[in-house]
Amino acid sequence: MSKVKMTKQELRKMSFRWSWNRSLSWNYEKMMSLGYLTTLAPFLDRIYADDEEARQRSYAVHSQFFNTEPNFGNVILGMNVAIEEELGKDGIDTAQGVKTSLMGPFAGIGDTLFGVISSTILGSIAVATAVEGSYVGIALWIMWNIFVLFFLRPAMFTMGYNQGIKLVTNLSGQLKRFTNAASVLGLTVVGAMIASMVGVKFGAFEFFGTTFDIQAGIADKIMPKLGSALAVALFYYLLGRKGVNPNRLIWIVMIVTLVLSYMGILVTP
Amino acid sequence: MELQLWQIVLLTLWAGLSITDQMTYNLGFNGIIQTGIFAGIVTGNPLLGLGVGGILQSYALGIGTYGGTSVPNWQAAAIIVTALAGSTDNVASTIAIIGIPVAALTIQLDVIGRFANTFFQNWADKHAAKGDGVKVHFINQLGLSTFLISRMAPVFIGLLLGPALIDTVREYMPEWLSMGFTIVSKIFPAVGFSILLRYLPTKNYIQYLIIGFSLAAWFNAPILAVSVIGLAAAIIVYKQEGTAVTAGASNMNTGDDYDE
Repeated sequence: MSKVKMTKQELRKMSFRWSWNRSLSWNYEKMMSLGYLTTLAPFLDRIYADDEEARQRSYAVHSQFFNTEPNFGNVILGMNVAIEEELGKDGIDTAQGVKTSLMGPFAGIGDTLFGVISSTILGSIAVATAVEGSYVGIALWIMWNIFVLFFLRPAMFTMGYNQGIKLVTNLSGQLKRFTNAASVLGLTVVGAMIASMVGVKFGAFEFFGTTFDIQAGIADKIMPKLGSALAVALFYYLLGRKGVNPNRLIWIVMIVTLVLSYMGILVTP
Repeated sequence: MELQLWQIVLLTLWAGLSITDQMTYNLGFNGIIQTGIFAGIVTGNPLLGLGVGGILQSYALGIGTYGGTSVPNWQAAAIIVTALAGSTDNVASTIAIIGIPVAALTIQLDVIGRFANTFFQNWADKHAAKGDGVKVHFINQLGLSTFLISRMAPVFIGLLLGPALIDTVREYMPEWLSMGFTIVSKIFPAVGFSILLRYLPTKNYIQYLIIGFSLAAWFNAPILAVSVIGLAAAIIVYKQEGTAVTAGASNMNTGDDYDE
């Protein structure tokens, strides 16, 4: 239908356009909607240059609600461009269908892969080296950010464009495997961080003239860093309870810890 | 520590750059550690900033802005704590007196910003209906203003009023309370880790959490060593789950297939 064919360079430019515009106007009503439309607008102007009605309809469709993980947004945009390039105005509804059906699952996969795992692994290494006074970990993390912006996101855009919908079926099994493996690495690192970064020390109390040192007498005999493990287990459990969110947990932990330290049950590690 | 006006201005500008980066390219200017380092450079002690950034980042490890949730503004805390602590000895108490309150109390500003952007959305929608891509593009840029205000204002005000506040609090704070805050600052990373564990498939793979914990608790293994061992475990899992797919469910029993 349309004679426009995007070059590799143009797709790359669109990926950067998305990276900049995606969340500037993020709002509770339509979330990334404006970012999506802004990214596509020049493309839509070009392919519907001779058909004002189709152009306006595509604008209307692409200003609908949109929200996903920013990196995986590239894949969806790539598919969308390919579909409308090939089918023209007959592809607008198909493109919208792809958008709405993929944004949810991609948000889930993307948040796990990019949000949790990259920040768990790289973040933990950065934290551990930073508190020892070394810039190594943070340098690694910055290199990862640069790689994502300049290579990974444009590559994901092109991948969505080239492979279209068949990518999703090909990738879903692979991605699950990859996510699981990355989670294993993440969990191993977090386990070590719990032992090395969380400090909990129990106090001693007197009972009929005898001093009971909870830390040396009980906790250390069971295993080192027992308090750290207990603290994480307790907070993990609390977060699963209704009405406890991370922001509230911060306040609960602060107040309860102050009370326990006043009573001498917790002391400076 | 008293700050010069140019330092306050520079640090406020960084807060703006930081949120801009977070909403766009994500090159790392939004990082809590990077923010600490920059604040350290501006106030003449980069290593102090690195340390402060590292501590605060550990509180935020499991926290991301998934689906547009608002999270504590640890970047503002990193700037203010680094600028006002003056020395490593004061870090724990400065975090407690001003860092945590600033990070937690300014969450609402982000909520207001994301709410206010509905105005730009509706405005742009009018032009979208007419097919005016240039106007939509322009209005989309304006949405950044709410995020800039919500991040720059707390840093500016915090740096301006912080020194007096800290002096007053230090003067009147009893010994047990300042010791209590030090204990809090050591327990706080546990909050970050437990949030993170909620997002990871912890129940399926708890064995690897135990391995990592044991390596550090009993053997004091450095974090890089644990990462390499974790990488080995990840490769094993990747290969095993691969054979599970190709060999079919008949002769493989992966943990995922069990019913509760």
